[in-house]
Parts: sequence; C-alpha cells; structure tokens
Amino acid sequence: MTIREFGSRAIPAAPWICALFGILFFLAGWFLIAKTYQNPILAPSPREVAISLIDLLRDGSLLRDWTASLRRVLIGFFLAAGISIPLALLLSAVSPVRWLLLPLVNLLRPIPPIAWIPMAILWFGIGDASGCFITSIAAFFPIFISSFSASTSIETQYLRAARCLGSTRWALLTRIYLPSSLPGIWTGLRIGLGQSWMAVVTAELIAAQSGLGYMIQANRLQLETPRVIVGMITIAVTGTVMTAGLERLSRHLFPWQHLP
Amino acid sequence: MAAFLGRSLGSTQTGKISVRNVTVRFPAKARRPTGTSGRLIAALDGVNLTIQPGEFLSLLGPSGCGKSTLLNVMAGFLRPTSGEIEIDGIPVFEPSASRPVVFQNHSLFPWMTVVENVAFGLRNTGRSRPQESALRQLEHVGLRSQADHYPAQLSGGMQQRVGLARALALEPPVLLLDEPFGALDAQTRLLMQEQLLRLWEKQGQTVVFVTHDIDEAIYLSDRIVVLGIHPNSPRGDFAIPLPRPRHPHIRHSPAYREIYETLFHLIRVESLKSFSSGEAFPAGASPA
Repeated sequence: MTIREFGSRAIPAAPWICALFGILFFLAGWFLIAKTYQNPILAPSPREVAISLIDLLRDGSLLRDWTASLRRVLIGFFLAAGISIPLALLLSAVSPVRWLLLPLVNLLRPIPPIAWIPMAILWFGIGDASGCFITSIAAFFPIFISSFSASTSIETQYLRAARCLGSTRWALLTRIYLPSSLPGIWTGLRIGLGQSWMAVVTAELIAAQSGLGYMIQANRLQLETPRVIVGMITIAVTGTVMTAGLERLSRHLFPWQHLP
Repeated sequence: MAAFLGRSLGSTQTGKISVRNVTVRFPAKARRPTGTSGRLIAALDGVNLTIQPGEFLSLLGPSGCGKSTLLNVMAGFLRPTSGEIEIDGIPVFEPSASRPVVFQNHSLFPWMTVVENVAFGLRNTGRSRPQESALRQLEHVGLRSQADHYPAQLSGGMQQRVGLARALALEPPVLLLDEPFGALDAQTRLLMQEQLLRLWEKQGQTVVFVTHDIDEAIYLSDRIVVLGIHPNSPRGDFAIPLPRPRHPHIRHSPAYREIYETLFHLIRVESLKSFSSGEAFPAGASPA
C-alpha cells in the first residue's frame, strides 16, 4: 500500500478520462443543437462534417491546403528563430547593442501580426511570401522575448562556481550560458510555433490562394459550412500536436527539467 | 596560473594567504563597491591576516561582519576597495581553479549529472582522464552510486558532498568554504564536518572556512579568527590546541568547553551590536 497525500489523484489516468468526457460532452451538445435546428448552413451536424472530411481527404485538397499552410509556418518559424535567437543572445551580451535595439523591439512588439497583412500584400503580393512574412513576424517576438530573458537571467552563483573551477571563456559560453538558457529558448520556440500557426490562418484568409485559411474563407462564401468546420478542426488538431510534440521533445533534450 | 602549476599534493609549501589591509566599501543602499558618492558602509575595514600553508582557519563572526565578503575577495570574485590579497606571493585578481569555493547553496550545475559536475573543473584544467578522477573523488565522499543522477535528485547533504568533491577533485592548494553546511539539518551537519576533516587530512591544503557556528569552528579548525562589527575587522585570533585526528566526542572535553566559553562571549558582544544598530552590512550581500 502506498501513502498518498490528501487531495491527490486516486487513478493516474483520471485527467485523460476527464478530458475524453469533456470532448464527448461537447460532441453530444453539438449533436443536440444540430438536431434541434436542422439547419446545415448555420449548424451542420457532426455527421455532415465527417462526410465532408472524407470527401476532402478523398480528393486530396485537404492535404494540399494543410501542406501549404504548414510550409508557410515552418519557413516563417525557422526564419524567425534564426534571426531572433542570435539577436537575443547578442543583445544580452553587448550593452550598447541592447540600448540601441531593445527599445525598438519593444516598440514593434505590440503590433499584432494581422496588422502587418496590408504591408505584406503591398510588399510581397498575394501568396507564399506574404504568408511566410506574417508567420515569421508572429513567431519572432515570443522567441526573442524568451531567449532574451533566459540569457540575461543566469544566476551569479553558477558563473562564480564555473569561474572558480577554472572555466575558460569558451566553457563558460558552451557549458554554462547555453545549457542554462536553452530551456527558456525552447519555451519561446514552443509559443512562437503556436503563434505562427494561428497567424498563418489569418494571413491566408486575406492574402493567399491556398492553405487552410483560404479553404475556410472560400467554403464560407459557398455556404459549405461543414467544410469550414473541417478546416477549423484540422487547424486545432495540428496546432495541438505541434505544441505537444515540442513539449515531448524537451523531455529528451533537457532531462534535468523533467526529473521524477 | 603559476601558483596552480606549483601545486603539489599534500605539500605544506604552497597555499600561504596574505591579507594586507583589505577594505571593502559598499554604498548604503545599492551595496556595490564604489569610489566616492553616497553614504558608504565598510563591509571590511582594514583587515590584516596571514594564513599558513596547510592551516585550517575559520572566519567566525555574527551576520554582517563581512566574513563572506572576505572569502569572496580571496576567491577573486570581489575586488577590494583598497588593500590586497596574495596567495604564495601572487596577487589575487580573478577566480582560479587553485582556490575553488564550496558555496552554502551548493551551486551545482543542474544541467549536468553529478559526475559531470565533478569532472567540470578537471576538464577545464586539462587533467587526464577527468571522468575516472571524478568517479574516484565521488567514491571518497561515498556517492559513486549517484554518479549519473542529476543534482536535483539528491538530498541537501548529498548535494553538498558533491560540491565538496567538485572542489577537492582539483587537489587545490587552497580550499575556500562559505558556510557550506549552513543549510543542512543538525545531524547531517555533524557528519559533514567529520567527512570534511577526513578529506582534508588526506589532502592537507590550506582551508578557509566561513561560519557563524562557534561549535563547528572549534571542532574543525587549527585557528579561529573572530570578525567583529563597527569596525568590521578581526577581534581575536585563537589557536585551537585540540589534538588531531579529532573525534566528535572532543566536544565534551574541558579544553573544548573553555574555548567555547571565550568565543561565546566575544561573539555575543558583536552580535548585539549588529542586532541593535540595524544597519550592519547584510550577510551574503555582494556586488553582482
């Protein structure tokens, strides 16, 4: 017999079972509403959505749109990460550069990615380039902020300990600064990827001829509501899987952060 | 580096520390060393001290007497406002692997396993077979079986033993300890003191041990320097003539009691000053 604290869980799988019930409740509610209103445009039933899903999978258009969106997200995300991480490290290490650029970054940060869409269209037209620009803007700030705070918040004690153990500058950088700030950078990447994925849909609603956002918009105009919902569900599932995947990966990359 | 290369195991030739007229001043509020402006508090006020090679010396004093500050200057973390410290004739101006520090909060690197923490200094100083030396050192502190754990998986006492192993692995001529057992429970603390003595008897380096615990200081030391408040400078210098190796029961001997009484009254006077003035230099405060 094991000792448990008051208020702790009796069944380890309880959260998963509850989550499943939550989703089932939602679906039941949805069924009920669809049944009551009998209106396939305003309230299509889950069955109609499932049929649309199969149709869209059969003709390959869902996969095409999904790939288009994902490609824009990944290009924008890696672009943002490639610029914002080195920039954050540079700003944390070199004071004059920090004084020069940090106010500028902070000034640009409150502009939501959606507000950049008109400029994106003017500069890059309708299509891939605009989408990538928007996704990179969306990912840039969360990654930058997390990386910057991670690399500036290293504890003096670790630096002192490293130095009195004969650490060279190189060892200080690679074995102290880097590993201590990587979990923070990783958090930024996770948030950045999520933001990027949300932004791509917004961008495609306006500035694209393909992708899940475009697909939603086009089907709305044709009153194909079940297909709109298929698009929404695809967005939800993909975003969840991406975030959970990065979280899982962090357990392997930073085992010391996930000790039993 | 020269001091480091001159190191020899168990030698009583290296590890002489000369503290000459060391003063450290901090602004009353910001608590950073400064040149002129603002009201200044002296964390150390013209301290002179010579520590012989192989000597186990404790810096004993109440909170705010500057004992940790003095250790930080010896470690090379903190530049004194005036005066200087020489170790074997070489001025201290930066931290060095020839005088590692064991910290109160252990400061093990959480992203490295226990054995990697111990091997860190060995790799930095280019020793051969760092991994094997680290494992051997862990065996000395009885933690070989925890080598692949992360520090967060260990108890407080174990963490501090790794901290000790990490410093001792370098076989340094000088070892600096800043209230290393201050955060441990009373029983673990006594065992740690014994283990430290055993390890030190093997290597025989110069040890500077900062503590506010009179009992701990007497049990461990060859010599105790009591630091006082207003001015923050030595009040007494006591040789501890207790025989070695020391058994924990030595605490019950009349000689021990006598030293304890003397130190108790001296420390009490200084503590009361700090207690009533309320503007003593706060313990542990130091410039970033």
